[in-house]
Amino acid sequence: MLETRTQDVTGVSPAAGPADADAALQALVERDLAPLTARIDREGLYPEDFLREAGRLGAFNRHLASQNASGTTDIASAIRATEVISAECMTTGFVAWCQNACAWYVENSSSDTLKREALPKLANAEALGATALSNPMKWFANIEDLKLSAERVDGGYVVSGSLPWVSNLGEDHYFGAIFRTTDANPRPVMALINCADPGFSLTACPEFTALEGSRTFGCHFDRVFVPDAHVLAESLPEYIRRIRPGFVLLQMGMGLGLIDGCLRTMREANETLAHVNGYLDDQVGELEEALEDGRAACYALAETPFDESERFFADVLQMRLTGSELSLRASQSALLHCGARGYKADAAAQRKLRESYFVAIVTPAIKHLRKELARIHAH
Amino acid sequence: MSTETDAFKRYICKVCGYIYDEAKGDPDSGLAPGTRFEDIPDDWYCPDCNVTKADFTALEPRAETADAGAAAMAWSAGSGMADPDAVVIVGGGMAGWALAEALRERDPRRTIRLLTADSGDYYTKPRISNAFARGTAIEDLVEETGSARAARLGIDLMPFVRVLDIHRAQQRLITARGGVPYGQLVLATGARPRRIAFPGGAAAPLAVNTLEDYRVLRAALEAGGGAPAHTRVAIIGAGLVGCELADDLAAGGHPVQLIECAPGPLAGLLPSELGADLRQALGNHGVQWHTEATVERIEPVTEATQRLVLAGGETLEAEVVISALGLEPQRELAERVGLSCDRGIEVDALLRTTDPAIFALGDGCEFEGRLRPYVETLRGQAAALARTLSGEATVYRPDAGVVQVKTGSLPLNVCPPPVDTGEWVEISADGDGRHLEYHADGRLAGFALSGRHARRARELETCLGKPVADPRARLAS
Repeated sequence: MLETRTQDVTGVSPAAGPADADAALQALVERDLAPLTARIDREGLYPEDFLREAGRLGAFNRHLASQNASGTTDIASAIRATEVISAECMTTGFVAWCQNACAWYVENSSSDTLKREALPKLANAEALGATALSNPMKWFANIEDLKLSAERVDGGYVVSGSLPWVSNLGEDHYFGAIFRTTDANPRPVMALINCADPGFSLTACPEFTALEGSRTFGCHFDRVFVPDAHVLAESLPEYIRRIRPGFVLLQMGMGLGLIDGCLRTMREANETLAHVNGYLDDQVGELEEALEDGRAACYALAETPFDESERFFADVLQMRLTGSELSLRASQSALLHCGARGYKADAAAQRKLRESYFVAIVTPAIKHLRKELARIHAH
Repeated sequence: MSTETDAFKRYICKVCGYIYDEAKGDPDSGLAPGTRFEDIPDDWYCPDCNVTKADFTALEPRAETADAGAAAMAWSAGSGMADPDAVVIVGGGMAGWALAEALRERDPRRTIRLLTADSGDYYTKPRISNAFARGTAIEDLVEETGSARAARLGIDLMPFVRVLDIHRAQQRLITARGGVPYGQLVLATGARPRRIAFPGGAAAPLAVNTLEDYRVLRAALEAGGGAPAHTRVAIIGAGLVGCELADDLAAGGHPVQLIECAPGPLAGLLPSELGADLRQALGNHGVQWHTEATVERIEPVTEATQRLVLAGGETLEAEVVISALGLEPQRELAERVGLSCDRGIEVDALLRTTDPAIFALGDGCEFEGRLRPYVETLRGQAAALARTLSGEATVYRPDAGVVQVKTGSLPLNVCPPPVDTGEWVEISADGDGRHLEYHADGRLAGFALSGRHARRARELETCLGKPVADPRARLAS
């Protein structure tokens, strides 16, 4: 059930919440982010100042009942914030999701230390955070093995291994990681790691097609000590069941925002090219309707982020799949609407095309989603 | 040592998936084509993720998933979603399918779309109650797969999809697979078992309402692996489902305990004589009764066995615990979008909800203040609604509401009287059953038949509302 405690908090009107918050964020996006979008995409500029300022505006605490003014787990509002950012620059929308996911792990953890020391800073982006769950999620779906292993030692674990590419990292950033213990009772454990932990190092990644400004690095653990106080959950299966719907739902801000951005590009193109764009397959009206349907479904699912049933999670995965497919359709149509002008190296349309492929391949990717849905719905 | 005649091999980085092909080498890092993996120096790094040679392993190509191609598109929105005049049915149980079939018969062209949270496979729920003793395999309960039925009837089936919201003004369903427009919408969302959360720390009792539930029950019954006599069953609730399952599982060799808070089975439905007969018939089959008893706690004893603690302190143990506490309509969706609901989704004589474009039928709807979760009812409703939806407004006239109790040891057909101003009269009673009638104001208002008399239900149904002879005179003759 959604933890709604709005009534207990005096002076906070629910009606005054999201729209106002989005208006301020929208203004910040236009003022501080939009001028940098092309450099973030092409030069790998990391939008750190924007993230810090958005955090101060409350863009990353909406899903954290312990950290926001209304005391509610408002996943839909967190998604909307990510949409506002992603519509302009999905690299930044992606790191916003990383930030949201990292704080979500701590919010739902059993570690009082992390809730006290890390969570308030993650909630307002004073600290920046990432999620290194791509490999474990593929491990849960029988696609990959776990890449990190850990020895049990006095007071904690010593972790070794490498993860290929993790985003939104920096020298003092946090991230959540899952490792498998190598003792007599091998089990997966999830903990919050800090990039400053001794034995941890980052290495540069190959150049990617898009998302270059997302500070994506290879992560190397050489006997990194993780104290028990930084363990997020001792019993991982229960913890994962609790966090996974929110984890995936929060990603929806990327796809929905991207589609919204594609629609803006299409409308602009139609100001001069409507007489010929009418011959294209996916028109503004159809995609607008599909976006509104997607938003409605996504926000409806976001009402019950703590529904741990397999049936609900199947709906969440289905939603994520629909979002990926619609992102690909929308970005392709946006480019076709713009024609050659959309093919320029700094054009929004071709950037959105590359960003949309990221929506479709970032874990859980389209193929991963279909594999999971086939498993869940099989008899 | 390898020689140049060995075929080149490939090695994969376990961290990022980069493939080192001996034939190609890694010229950017100074490894000429043909460099064997074992000859790569230890200070070489994976060009994509910087780990060392130690993180590489010989490449073994993965086998393809045989049916992945077919599965690939199942979760993606198909074409043809956009017919705004479509009749859209939500729910793939007996009611949803009965309507789809009746409507297709009347209108060969209209787009009919059926959304269901499961596979849409067609089965008749009453058969679940007596499948065990007959040895019916679960697969054989499926009379037709959802996809085959949809293809045969020319219906667009959307399986495994749940309706999250309805935008009534736009006549659009909201699902995680996209929006679905409708011209007319029918809610056939059915009912689900009423549940009580028992304290005590044991797993929740099984409830049997769908084929999937039944699959779980059968697996639990077979979990012990031994003879049925070693898997004890406790059933909480001696209503229709509780009695039928108790009878079926007892006939199949399981020791069955039946716990009921009322003094006898089907208390609200059966005249007391028939209740006593049913109790005895099931008892003769080995069912142990605990009437006027309530379960207070269910505790785990071992991994396989649970202990039920009844009010008053009596305890009993079972390997399989079933909850059969009746049904409650699934009306959350209707309530969410502001359709008038009482116990069920309220419908008028045309089976319309309070939104003229939205209809409801089956176990989830409430007509004239009553729920009628019976197969006869949904068939009658489907027939009337199919006419209405194809342009011929047709008032639904409820059937007499004969309830079939398919307990093999004593089959019953009961037509509960709609009034309480009369009395039950025993017309005949013998070793093979009873024939009771409910007489009110000199007319037949209901009946209850058991054993060999049960088959007279159709005939008596035609006499409902007609004057009856003085029962004393009949008994004397």
